[in-house]
Amino acid sequence: MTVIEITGAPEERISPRQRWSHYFVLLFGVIGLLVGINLRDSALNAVSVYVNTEAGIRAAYPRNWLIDFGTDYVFRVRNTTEIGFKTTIQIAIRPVGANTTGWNVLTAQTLNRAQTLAAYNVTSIEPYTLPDETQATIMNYSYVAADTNPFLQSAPTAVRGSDILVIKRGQAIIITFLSNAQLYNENVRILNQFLRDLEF
Amino acid sequence: MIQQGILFVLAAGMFAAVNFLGIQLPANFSQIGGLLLVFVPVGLWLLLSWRPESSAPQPRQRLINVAIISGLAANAIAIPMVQDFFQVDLWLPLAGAINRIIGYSFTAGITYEIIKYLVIRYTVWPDDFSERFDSVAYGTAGAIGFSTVLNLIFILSDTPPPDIAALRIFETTTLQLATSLIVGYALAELRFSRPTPLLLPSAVAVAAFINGVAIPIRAGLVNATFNLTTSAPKSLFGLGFAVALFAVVVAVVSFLLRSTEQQAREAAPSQEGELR
Amino acid sequence: MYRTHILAAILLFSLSLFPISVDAQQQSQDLDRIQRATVFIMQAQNVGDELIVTCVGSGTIVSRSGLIITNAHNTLQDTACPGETLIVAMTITPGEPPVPKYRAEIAQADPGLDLALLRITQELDGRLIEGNSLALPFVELADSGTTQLDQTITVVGYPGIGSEAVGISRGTIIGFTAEPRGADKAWIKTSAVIPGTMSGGGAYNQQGQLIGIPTTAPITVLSTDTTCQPLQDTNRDGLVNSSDICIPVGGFINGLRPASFAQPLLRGASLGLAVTTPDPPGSQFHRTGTPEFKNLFFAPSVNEAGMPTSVIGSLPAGSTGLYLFFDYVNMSPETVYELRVTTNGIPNPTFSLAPVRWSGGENGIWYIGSANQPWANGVYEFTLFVNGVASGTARLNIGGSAELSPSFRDIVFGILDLRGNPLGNGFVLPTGNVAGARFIFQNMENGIEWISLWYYNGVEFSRQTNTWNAGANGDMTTSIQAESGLLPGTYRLELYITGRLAAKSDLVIAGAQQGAYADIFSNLHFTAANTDLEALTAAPISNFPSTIGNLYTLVDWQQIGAGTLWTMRWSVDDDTFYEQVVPWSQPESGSNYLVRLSASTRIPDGTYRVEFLINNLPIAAAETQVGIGQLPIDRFAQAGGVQFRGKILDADTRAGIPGVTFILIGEDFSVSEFVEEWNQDMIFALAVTDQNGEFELDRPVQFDTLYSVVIAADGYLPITADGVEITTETELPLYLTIYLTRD
Repeated sequence: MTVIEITGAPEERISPRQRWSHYFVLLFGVIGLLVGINLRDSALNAVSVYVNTEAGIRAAYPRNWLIDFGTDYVFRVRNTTEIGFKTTIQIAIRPVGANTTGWNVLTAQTLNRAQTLAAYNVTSIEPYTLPDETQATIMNYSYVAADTNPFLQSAPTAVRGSDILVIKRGQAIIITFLSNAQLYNENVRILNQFLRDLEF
Repeated sequence: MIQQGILFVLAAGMFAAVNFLGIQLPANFSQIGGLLLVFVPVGLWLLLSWRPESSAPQPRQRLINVAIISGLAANAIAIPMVQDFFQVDLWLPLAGAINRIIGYSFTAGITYEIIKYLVIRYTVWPDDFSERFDSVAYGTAGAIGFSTVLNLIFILSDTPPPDIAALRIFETTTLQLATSLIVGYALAELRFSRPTPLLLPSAVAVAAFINGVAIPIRAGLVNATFNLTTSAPKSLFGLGFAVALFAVVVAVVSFLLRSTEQQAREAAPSQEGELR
Repeated sequence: MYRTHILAAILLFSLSLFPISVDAQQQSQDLDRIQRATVFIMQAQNVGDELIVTCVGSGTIVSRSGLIITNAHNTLQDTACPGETLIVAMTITPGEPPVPKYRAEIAQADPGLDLALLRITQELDGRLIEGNSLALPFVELADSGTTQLDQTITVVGYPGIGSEAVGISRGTIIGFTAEPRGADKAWIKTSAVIPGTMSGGGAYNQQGQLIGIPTTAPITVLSTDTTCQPLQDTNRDGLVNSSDICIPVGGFINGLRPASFAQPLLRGASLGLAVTTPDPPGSQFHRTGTPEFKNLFFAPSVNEAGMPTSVIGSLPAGSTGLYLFFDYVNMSPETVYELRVTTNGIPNPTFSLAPVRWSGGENGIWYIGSANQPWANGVYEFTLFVNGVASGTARLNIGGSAELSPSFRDIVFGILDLRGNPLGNGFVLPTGNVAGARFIFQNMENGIEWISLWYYNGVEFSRQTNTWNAGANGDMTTSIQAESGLLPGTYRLELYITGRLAAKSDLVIAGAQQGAYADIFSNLHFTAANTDLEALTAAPISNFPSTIGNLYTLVDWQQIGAGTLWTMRWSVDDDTFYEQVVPWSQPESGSNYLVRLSASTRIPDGTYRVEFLINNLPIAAAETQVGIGQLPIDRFAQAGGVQFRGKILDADTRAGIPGVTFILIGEDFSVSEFVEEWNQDMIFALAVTDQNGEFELDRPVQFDTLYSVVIAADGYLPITADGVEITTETELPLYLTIYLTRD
């Protein structure tokens, strides 16, 4: 038996049915990826709502972040599932006098923090406009955080923080955002979303 | 099948040697051993598929090309898409079971399967599909290339011990092979029959869904149950699940391929007769 | 039959082993916690750019927030220990020497009791520690009143000067020493061998509670010997030798200061309360003259006012109580005193007291002894030492039958009624023209001479020599009169029989007469004000809001002689947090004795009580409420339980994962309820893994309590569980190994 091998045959034509099949796959792929993006966004941007009528605050914070209430702050939320330093958002209210300026409040914050935080350093203080056009002041700073348990060997983490200060109704509202310095630019979107949803 | 059988024996054997017989491998062997293990599926594929193929009368010419391009596409597109764009690590592991399946289906599943499909579509389909079982050969090549890169990333980023590496390599390779067979079947049908235009997207969807189901189910089976002493992973459950999934997919695809092949053969003489 | 007996025996033996092993497990947990809570204290002095260690000792963490009980002698700044910085070192790795971790400050101290309560305030690098950010292992204080003879104890402390691991010494309680401060259990005596540097550490009962603080005070720091060791090249001559400053470590310890003495300090410090009086602590000591002891005598027992019931020269066989009384002069809290007792010439450690700080006043009467303890027959010699120098010896024979010699006992003072019965409270009389005393006599013979000798502030005031004519047994009265009135102050009555001291007692005369009682303090009330000056004119208040930062109490007084010892005691919810015995230093009469109770932030809610006492007898008291009138519940107060420790590993790499949160949910909530809200209030304890994946919860877990667990980390499948329970069957110590799986 003789076998005749034909090589380099011209490309076969693709039938319309086959072409539509491929188009459908591509369409399915695009739709699927869009659904995936939507799922991702709805998961990553899911929020829980916190309302404090006494303090006049309504905030939406990332879902599954641990919330707690302290004496120094109205509330604080931390991303406990994050590996390493837990990204934190906190709102504190301080009384202010008639002559107190935002600068005074931020200076007091700086003085207190410098006593307790390692390598605390203010990098900038500048005007800031909140999403609702409220004028505020933002203070950016960094420090080194480490676990306080003396029996564990925790490596310190460089933390970058921002205090956004608004003086309103005779009190200073300080929104604090803390993040691992290396992830700050990624995590700052969380702060921005938080500020968009914040009512006070 | 033989290749996966050997891989299974290797993975199970290594796991048993370390965990049941207590054989300890040197710590610095982990990465080298892991790298060697990554290339075992490739080696077996070269040995059992590509080498016999090259000596066949009508060799499938582009098997290596498909494997390499699949691997490159996995590294360049699939992994960055899943890890950096979809950031599945940030939201899927902590989600509920149904959400995890849906999430993985529409992220990793879709991405992986579309990429593997596109590689075959634009390298060998339809020119190099001369018979239905070509889809199996090229699907396997794509899956091997794709899974090798997934495994390589796993080994290089995590440096797992060899027994764990062997299990994960087997599971990843098996899953990618299984899903590639499904898409391969649809491509073969599209090439040699006149199926509905929705068959191929359906096959890609099924493959994506199997990815979406398999990833969380495997992890869920392996995940430790809390215990006041040691909450150890149930690694063998993952191995068993991979074997079962592969067996089912191979059986189904094999049945479909054989039956359609059979139908085609039965149809051929009558057509010839009609022509006469 | 024989086999049945053997089987039954084996079964019983097995059953008996079970509770022992459970107890042993719990004790092992307690010991682990105790060792971690035991710290090494270094007092250091800044010399140029160098920190020179000046004194060392052990200490014990008694609160989660970092309050430490230790001795005062090695932490308070004085000539022997001149350092101004306190460094706290902890055992980070079991079996290894302590590692410096924090700086501390004195929160409360009683130099006489030789107790100090330190508060960890700074990291080692000087950074302040934020309030409540510490969650340290700690121990609870036991009720020292429940300690018993022959009880097994474990003493934990650091045996070296910083280069040795925490040490454990076991022994039993071999006795109790009585003193006016602390009554019959002023000291716990132990058979455990305790090196001097373990002074300030802790002695524990079998429940892991702190029952006492091993205490001794080094006598001298003049030379380098075994009790004073050089540690650093302080003179920078390139050598560490006797020319360098040495660290006083003291000799071996056999006395434990009961933990109940530290309770008021702890209560005050944990609530952040401070009491400010016109007579600050230490102001009564003038530190002039050489301290000495004199007029030693023995008594078989002590009355409620701390006075001897009688004076004895011997005791019959089987006696269970003996007290050595003596007068002291020119003493101060820095004075070190010691009692050495020999029985038939052989040192008797049970009744001896190692060198300790003086816990009394400057001048007065004191006793040391023991009650409810068998005294073996023999010749006992008691020698008192002041600052290492012998300062009085007394000898007593115990054995034989009870003597039938003439004796006086049980002096009680009062205003005598027509029948000669003393009216009043017995030891504090009002000013007036007359003061009487009644005493019991036994085995007297008519015709013998007896003398009643009265002193006023140490000076003989009245001497009455009489011939006895009242028969053999009964009671007798004696009195003093002054036409111009008895001046307020401290009086003493000594009764002699044929020239031998037979009975002796002190009384205080103060205040105006109100029936048979003394009206000393009046118009005792509370008020609130911003300043001390405002408080003087502020109106009395009986209930205060929760927001006050200062609470004042004011009282008027009359007829109190200078130098009269009196006690001020503050308590909250019946827990004493302040007690001070001082000689009266104000004018005899006056108004508005102002005492300020202040807090670091605000005064906690609670029911506050202030009491004034003289001769241990309550003279005046007042009570007020702040806020809801009850202290807030401290949910972290429980020290005991099981330490939850472990490691979280990556199932793929088997390497520890740093920065993973381990959450233990309280018994009232389940995992599903928690993940709905992610609220900190639902959490019992939380821990984050270190760089090796190790974690430990900051609160001990309680037995037979159902907890839930959530371990969730980005990129890993969560591990959750409800119904997590530590039972007596749980294998301890608890160390969890948890593998997290990735998708």
